[in-house]
Amino acid sequence: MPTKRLDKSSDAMFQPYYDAAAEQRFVLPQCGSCGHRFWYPQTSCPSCLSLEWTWRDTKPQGRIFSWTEVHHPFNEELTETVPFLVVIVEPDEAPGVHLVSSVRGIEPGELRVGLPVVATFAAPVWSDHMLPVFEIDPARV
Amino acid sequence: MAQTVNTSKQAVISGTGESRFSRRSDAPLARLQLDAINAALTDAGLEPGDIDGVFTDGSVMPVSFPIDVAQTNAGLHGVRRVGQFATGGTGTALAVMEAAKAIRQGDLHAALIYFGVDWGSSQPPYSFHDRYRAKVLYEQPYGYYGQALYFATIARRYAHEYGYTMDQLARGLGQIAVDHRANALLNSNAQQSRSLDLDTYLAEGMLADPLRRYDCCLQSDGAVALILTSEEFNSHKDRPAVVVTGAGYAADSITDESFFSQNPLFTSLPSAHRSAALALSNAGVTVEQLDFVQAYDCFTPSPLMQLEALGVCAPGAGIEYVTAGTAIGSDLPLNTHGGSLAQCYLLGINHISEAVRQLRGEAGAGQVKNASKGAVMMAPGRDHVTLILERS
Ligand SMILES: [Zn+2]
Repeated sequence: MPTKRLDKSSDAMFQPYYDAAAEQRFVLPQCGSCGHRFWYPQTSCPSCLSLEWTWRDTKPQGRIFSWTEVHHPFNEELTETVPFLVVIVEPDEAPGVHLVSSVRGIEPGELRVGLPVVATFAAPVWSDHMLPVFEIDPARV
Repeated sequence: MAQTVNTSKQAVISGTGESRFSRRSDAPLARLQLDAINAALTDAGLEPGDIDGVFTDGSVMPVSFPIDVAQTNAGLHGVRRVGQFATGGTGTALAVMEAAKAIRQGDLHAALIYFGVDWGSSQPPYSFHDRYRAKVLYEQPYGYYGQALYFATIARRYAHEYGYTMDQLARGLGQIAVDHRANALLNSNAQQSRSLDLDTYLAEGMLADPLRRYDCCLQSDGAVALILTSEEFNSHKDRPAVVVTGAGYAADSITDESFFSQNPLFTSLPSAHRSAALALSNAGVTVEQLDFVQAYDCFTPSPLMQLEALGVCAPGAGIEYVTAGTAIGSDLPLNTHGGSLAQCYLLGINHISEAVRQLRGEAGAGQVKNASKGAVMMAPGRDHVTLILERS
């Protein structure tokens, strides 16, 4: 599995997300100047251009923004994995952020844009690392 | 800034050349590209030494067939300006825009623009985005891999935002695929040679729901070359001159890496709206005056969003619009050569050579009657170019 895909030395900007996920924490870059949470990490805040931002704990819940069920393996390493669901989640505390993830415990036919989801942590279909994956949040359906 | 068209010089696309297009060619990319360049020189009635500018895209060709190699093998000994622009399809359209400007200003006499790929025989283009660390680290672990997934999630969100059922969405996207195929059957250099009907489209299984096989472009080996000259350097006074009368480029303040998942509008292309308005404005042309549109069609939702950006229909009305049909014979035919979906996937440069063919009246069975004005739009991403071409 593609552990090699994570090269810590060259990915200092991206690594804290993985470190937090390993501790089952969901974090996003948050601007220290205007408070904007953004995605993906970049050198300056996309809202106010401040260079002072930090990774901040973020409530691990949101809503399904869009999704697809993948039937064709676009990489041969995914041949045994299809079909699988990919979702894009908009976190409640970070409007405008589109978090690519997966969803578990729901049939594709029941999936709807707007459904409330909550994160748990597990290795997704094409990684050995603990990362946020989502489940339907029964408390908010 | 808006360019004025009433300068003393106009930029004419006076030569086009296409290699044979196929899924897998026996010839290497270099040979296909040289075939296209030589065909363009012949078409323009120019010698290799007449070319004084060489332009291509800034990401694909610099690796696979860079300008020094192209120039050397084509014998272009008079070059005094080169340029590489943007990425892939946007880059070749931007090259036309920049070459046209240099010609209008009198800086160049004859500019060559070239582009080709051998992605049909070498490898599918999915790994092209492995260069982006955010995609590798934050998207691919979930299997969000392959550009079809980007457009699958865009299409589903589009249906949600504008209140289309998934069946309405399927019939709209399917009609795009069907019409592209019908157009390709009228083109002599198209990879697809069998017809496609909507029932066959709908019976296909999903690749990435809601996209099916025929929503995805071909994989191809092929190359195209274009030559722009001033009007006085256009040696063919006997046929209509195809003039670049309008061109617009716009780029959003978002990285390539982020665009497809993080585009704030998600179901529309802000840069395409801006580039289209610029191009129409500096050509002094309205959408109603256009006789065809060639729009980058990597996946069926892509031309849909660009037609909306051009103002052919309102944002969200695209599915309704394409369901009514956009094949040759309709009011405003889309991708008259079959596009990347059915002619050949060359990241859109074949859309430009097709536009020239139409405006010269040389499109044979696929000719749009009395075509005198057309738009070319490339590509669906953070940046976008619209060209307005007219027969003079
Ligand atoms: Zn800020």
